[in-house]
Amino acid sequence: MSVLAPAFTIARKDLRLEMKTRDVIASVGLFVLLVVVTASFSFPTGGEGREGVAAGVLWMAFLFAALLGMGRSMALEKEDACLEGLLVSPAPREAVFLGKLFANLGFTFAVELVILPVFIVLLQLRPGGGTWLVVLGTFLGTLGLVTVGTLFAAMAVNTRGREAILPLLVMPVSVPAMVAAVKVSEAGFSGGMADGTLSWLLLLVGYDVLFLLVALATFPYVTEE
Amino acid sequence: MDGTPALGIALTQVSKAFGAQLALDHVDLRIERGSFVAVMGANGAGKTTLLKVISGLAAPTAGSVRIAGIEMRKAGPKLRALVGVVSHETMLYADLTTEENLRFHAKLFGLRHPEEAVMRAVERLDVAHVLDRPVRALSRGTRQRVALARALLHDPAVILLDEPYTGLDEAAAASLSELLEELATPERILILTLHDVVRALSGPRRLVVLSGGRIALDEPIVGSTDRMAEAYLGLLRAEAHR
Repeated sequence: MSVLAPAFTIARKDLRLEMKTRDVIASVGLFVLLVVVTASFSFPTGGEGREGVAAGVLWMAFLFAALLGMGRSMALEKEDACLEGLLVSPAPREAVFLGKLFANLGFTFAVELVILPVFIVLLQLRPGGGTWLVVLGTFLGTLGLVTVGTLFAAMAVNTRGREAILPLLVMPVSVPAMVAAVKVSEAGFSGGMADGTLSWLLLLVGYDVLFLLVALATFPYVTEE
Repeated sequence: MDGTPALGIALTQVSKAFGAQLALDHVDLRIERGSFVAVMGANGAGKTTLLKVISGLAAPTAGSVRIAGIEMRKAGPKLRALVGVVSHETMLYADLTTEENLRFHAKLFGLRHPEEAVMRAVERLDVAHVLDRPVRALSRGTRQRVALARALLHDPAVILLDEPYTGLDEAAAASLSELLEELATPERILILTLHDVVRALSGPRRLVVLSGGRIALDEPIVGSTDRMAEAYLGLLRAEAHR
């Protein structure tokens, strides 16, 4: 059996579930919107370095949004032993991981797609020619964050305090991706590539590839009792 | 259904530890095609772990599990396609309808004609009338039938049922017993865990009793079952006094 076909089947199932319940999008979207609106009131309207602060606030919001969404998505699999239902199927374990990853990426990107323009407007940022960099940084940063988060959500799902454990596991490991994503977004908000931006982009790409491989290799052991 | 003539399950010196706790302790078990086996034992005796090890959900700490002569560790996905698992939890998404759940699992199993497989399964389990209802809205008995339909979608050669009678009323339990009799064909292997000794001795053809992760009794169920029931209850009493 191929890996991608069952992975897409699982992702489509998650999407269908979300369309019915709106659990993840509603709770996560509202939370991030609240963060962004609150930040916009306390944000300085001028001065140097505001792009860097904006990028930091944005990624804090994205990090918490991703954590909330991934925790909820894996918790759904825990109810009625649905995760076991996936694991007793002939779908390779890697397909189960990729399916959950695709779904989590879909939810997180959907939230980001709404939040990012609102954030730019409310904080009066003018990325102009750096918009592509903001989009690229958001894509690469989210990919790394959600890859690590999906793996750790599967680890945390069987623990008693999974809501508390997931951030504890994800945050330290995601620091390099977060720092790089903030730096790339800052450059984007400032209008384009700056000194060192290429290095941060390469770091993000390397982080994504490394953790995708690590997650694919370890997920079968994480889900096996 | 798999046409391999050598289909059978072989556990050789299988142990499974969770930390310091030994759930299975050097279990040797051979189950041939056509077997209908009841696995009994007190809570924590290792019944669920035994089924998890056979289904590939849990990896043995030591020993080997073979289905149709193939090592589970080496060919997990291929062997999992031969096995259908029913647990006391339904493995169904409560917010999806019966049809959405079954179609999802049919696709996950890579079935060529998922719609046809779903229709066959729901007709067999008599749940066609709840196809468009969310699983959340179904009674416990109907949910269990849908869970069975899910496990039978790919017409598995091995069916594992972990305490399938849990939470069922008498009518639903009787209906389940009838279905298991129907499924227990010479081509299949059925293994179920349960606590009810009367049920264990009225349908299945072989009784395996686990105690402390070891096989304490393994006998065919033939003739008068009183002696076996007494032996089983004696084992439980001995364990309770330990």
